[in-house]
Amino acid sequence: MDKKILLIEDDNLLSEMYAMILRDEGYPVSQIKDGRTAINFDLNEVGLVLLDIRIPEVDGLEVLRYYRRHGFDKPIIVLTNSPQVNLTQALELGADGFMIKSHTEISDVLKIVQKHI
Amino acid sequence: MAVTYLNTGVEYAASILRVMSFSYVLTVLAAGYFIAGVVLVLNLYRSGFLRGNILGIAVSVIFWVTGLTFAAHILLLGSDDRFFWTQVVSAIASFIAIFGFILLSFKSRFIVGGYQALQVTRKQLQQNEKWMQIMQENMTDGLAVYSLDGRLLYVNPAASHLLGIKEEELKSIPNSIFGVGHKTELEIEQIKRMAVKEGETITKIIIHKPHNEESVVEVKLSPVYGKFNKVIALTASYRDVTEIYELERAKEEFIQIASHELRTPLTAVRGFLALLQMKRYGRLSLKQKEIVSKATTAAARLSKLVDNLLVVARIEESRLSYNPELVDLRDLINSTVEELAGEADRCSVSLKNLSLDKPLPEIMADKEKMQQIITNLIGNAIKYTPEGGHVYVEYGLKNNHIEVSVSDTGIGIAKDDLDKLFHKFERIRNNRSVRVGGSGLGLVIVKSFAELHGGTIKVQSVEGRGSTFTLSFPVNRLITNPAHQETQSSYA
Repeated sequence: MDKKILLIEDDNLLSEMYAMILRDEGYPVSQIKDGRTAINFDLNEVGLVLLDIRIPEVDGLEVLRYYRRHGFDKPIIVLTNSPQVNLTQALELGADGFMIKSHTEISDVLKIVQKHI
Repeated sequence: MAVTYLNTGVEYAASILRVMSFSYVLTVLAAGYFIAGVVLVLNLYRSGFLRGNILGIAVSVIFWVTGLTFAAHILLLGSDDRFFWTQVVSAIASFIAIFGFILLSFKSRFIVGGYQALQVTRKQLQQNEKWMQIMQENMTDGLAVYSLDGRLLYVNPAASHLLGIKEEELKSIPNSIFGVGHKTELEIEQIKRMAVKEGETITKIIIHKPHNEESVVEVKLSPVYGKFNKVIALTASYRDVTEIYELERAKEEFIQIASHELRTPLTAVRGFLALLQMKRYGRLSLKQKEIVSKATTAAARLSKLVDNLLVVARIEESRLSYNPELVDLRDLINSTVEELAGEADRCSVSLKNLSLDKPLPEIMADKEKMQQIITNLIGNAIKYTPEGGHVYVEYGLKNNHIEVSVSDTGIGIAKDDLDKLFHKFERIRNNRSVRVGGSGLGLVIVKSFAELHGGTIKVQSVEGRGSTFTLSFPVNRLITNPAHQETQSSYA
């Protein structure tokens, strides 16, 4: 099974933080900071995507839509900063779960990933 | 004396005229008397004195009769038994004339004074009317008066300007209170009913202008009371609130962005502090543990402040954008339950709608906010219910109130915490709520949105066994569709 995690998050610190704990748990992590790079990224070998909704250039929901339309069927967990973002829409577009960043403990991030991968 | 004097005077004048034998002069004189009488009466009439005034009518009659008798007197001068008839006629004429003159001398001051007073009052009225007109036509706020059946009785230029519709057009359409195409006929009737019942309703409409511009107009509809405190008409005042609206929007956006920008590094701080406490990154000394724990507490406090900032912004925003329309609440609840079924599944919680086919009247509500109320309540219930638990949604009419309740077999809420539940700056901390990672703001928003609709929310809970949240909206305030009145009564 692919263990590689694609982490799409524009904030350097947060990206580093998630990458650190995931790598230390033994997952290879690719870090991306914007939507355009995300769309051009080779998804082979990727086992799970952590996708921030508010990212530059191409919106996270658009990336989600693009991935699902192009046959990517591995779990996608949506990251968001505020619960106001339309999570129902994210789920409708094919997300498998979501995390409200400011309200999710770092240890829970690991649990969520382990549950889905 | 006076009679004789006047009588003698008339006889004297007659004898002079007879001597002069200028019959045409007599005719001219008689005609002159008529004309003078007519002019006087007309003048009095024009001054408004004769209108509905018995004294004025009496005066005019006296002039006419006097004129006629005097004319008859003169005309009879040439006949045979003129002596007898001239005596009779002149006596009557003199009597009436004197009676009239006495009346006039008594009342002349009143007539002249009254006439002058009337002229002054009329001038003032005209002046006032002019000022009123200038005010109404030049004020920047729009003003219109509608009859209860929706006919436009008055509209000032500002109103038609703000609505972006010509005055004639407003007049030609019934119920043109909100211009054209902003509200349905049923919604307008609803808003009118609310204004009659509650005294005042405020509605915001967005007017699309050329060049892609938009303006926000606040329409305040209030009743006009007639006799017996009965509402006889409705006044609508229009105000351009675009600037306020934009300012509020900007403020809200600023708070949103600020709290987003604050949140991100804060999340990182809290995350890294949590990592520091993990054994895998090395053991901390007791002192180090204490320091990290204090930093964590401070970061959590800051995080809560940011959350509160966001709640305030959201509540402010909700007041700003309250936009009622006719909503089929039953449909809304049923579809929300369906939408959340997936999430309930994921959490292994059974979600049941116990009222699927129960009828509910359509209500005036802000659809988006209503949806958020229901979503938050059901979402919360799912979140706080352990795997294998149940969430039930029920609705119906009770005591003229629409009641929606969401029950769960979840963790429940401690008695002490029940009061804090809906407060803006309180958040209940228990192990579960930390674990599920809720923002804890949902209920504050639910309460404020429910209140926006004139509703209330109550909660019953037993810790460890579950909670029931019950929303209640007064039907009188919300109902409009007469088709549903029957449903309502048959239901109650």
